Amino acid sequence: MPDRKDIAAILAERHGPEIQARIEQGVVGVMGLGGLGSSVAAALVRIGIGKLLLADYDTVELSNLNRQYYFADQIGLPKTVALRDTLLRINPYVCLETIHERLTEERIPLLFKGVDVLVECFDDPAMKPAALRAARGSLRGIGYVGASGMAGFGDNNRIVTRRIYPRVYLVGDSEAEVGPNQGLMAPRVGIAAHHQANQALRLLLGVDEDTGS
Amino acid sequence: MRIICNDEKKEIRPGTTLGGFLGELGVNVDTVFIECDGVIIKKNEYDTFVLPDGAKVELIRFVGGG
Repeated sequence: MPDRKDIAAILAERHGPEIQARIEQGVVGVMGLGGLGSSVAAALVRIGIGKLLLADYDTVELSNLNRQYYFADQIGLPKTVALRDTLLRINPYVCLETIHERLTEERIPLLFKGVDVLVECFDDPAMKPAALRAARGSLRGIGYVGASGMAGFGDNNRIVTRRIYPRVYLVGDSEAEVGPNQGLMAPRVGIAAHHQANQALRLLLGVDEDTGS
Repeated sequence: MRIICNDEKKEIRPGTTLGGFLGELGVNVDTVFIECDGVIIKKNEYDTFVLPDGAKVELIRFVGGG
């Protein structure tokens, strides 16, 4: 097993020491640990994120395995527990805080005050605007990356990252919801998740450009 | 009277509430984020919030999946 210093050294060598120093300081909240959130968390742990706050109320089900970062032997475990176990296999020294509860518009500001970036990975369409209201209200100023529209197997390049306010971004095609012959599937949900993870990284590194997309 | 919704001009009757306007657009009130003149409008205020003349409304519709 590598020790903490080995991992830090290799990440600094690969990513650049100044960049890595900023990633190691980063605190990111992930709301919802489904197809988006589980992959966002894994990507951020792989690059050496400082700390993650992982929130979900649900347990791993067989129907999740078509797109979510869980394994058959984890069925029945709370997603917070299963994902923590997996992330610690990637980096045994990463700082993880788990929140096993159903989030609400009122609870989000209390739980995620102090994060650098908040990533909205909910499945429920009502929680998506609720989270944005929370971020634009009580959490104004933190980085925010939401998502809307990534079902099916539509065109890769219709998944975009839009800057809707300073430090506030939305990922997705804005329209592809779950329907007949349009399920949530690992490839396209993964595209959206990694847009979110990269945008969170850009915000941590102080990039906030309006690219007009 | 006229408002601007997502950069598009819209004619509305004076006294129109945000809830009424969303109904005319066919927007699901549960899955939308709204700011009016830069202020977030909470979901429980939609039916009492009367749109002022010249209001600038930002409306973001969400679909489920994640």
